[in-house]
Amino acid sequence: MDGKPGLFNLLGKRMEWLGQRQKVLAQNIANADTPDYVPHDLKPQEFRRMVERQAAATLQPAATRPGHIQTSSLRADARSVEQKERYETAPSGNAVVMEEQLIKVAQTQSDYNAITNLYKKQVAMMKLALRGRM
Amino acid sequence: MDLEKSLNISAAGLRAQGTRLRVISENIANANSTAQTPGGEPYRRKLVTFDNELDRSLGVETVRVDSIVADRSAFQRRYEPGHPAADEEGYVLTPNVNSLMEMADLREAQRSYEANLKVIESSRTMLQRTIDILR
Repeated sequence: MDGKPGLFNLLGKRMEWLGQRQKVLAQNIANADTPDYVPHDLKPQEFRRMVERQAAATLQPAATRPGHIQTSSLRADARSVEQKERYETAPSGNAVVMEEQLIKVAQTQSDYNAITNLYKKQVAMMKLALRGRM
Repeated sequence: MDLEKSLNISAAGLRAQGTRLRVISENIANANSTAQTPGGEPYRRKLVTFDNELDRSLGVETVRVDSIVADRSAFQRRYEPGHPAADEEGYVLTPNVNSLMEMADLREAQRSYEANLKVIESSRTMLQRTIDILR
């Protein structure tokens, strides 16, 4: 859509971000008993940045050989960082609080539902415009 | 895709917790396994340690069981002169397994297992939602 952030484009980005967050949360929960593990989270996605970073093309490393590490999670706009404020840390050094992580999972899921519903609505409206009737 | 990766991570979590459950059940099953001869050692409690590992093909950090180590705490002693493993004073060494602790550990493992299952469920719903867009 000639460089401007279309609605579908933004929705797609949001879905990608939520998917990545789900991945990070899954990682936290899987490591809920690993000593010295500190939970990660993504930086919140800002609408302003979603709109303004359209023009600048970012370079991305590509995995071209079997030995290369996949780098989809290393992209600049959605890198997972160690959580700053921690609820509590177990004697083993593990700082994952299951309840907190599960709440985040639930949030991510409901956000995702909202986005997919919006997407569907938009498609329905386009169809309506094309057909001219319900 | 990230959602599929999160399924993989959660599966690794399930596997690790499953191993932990297996070790706990070994401990409980052997809570009364004493030695056969006077000098012998009874069953020693085992512990599981976890570690996070970079899965190179997926580019994500999953979890794995690092090692299963023996608990080095002292054995308990019980007075039982007729036992084949009893020493001169009539005491038998019994395993350092505390069933109460094992039960607590079991519950913890179960809770972690359930949490991983929940994440799988949630990721699956999200994937399903994505596919539903096509309808």
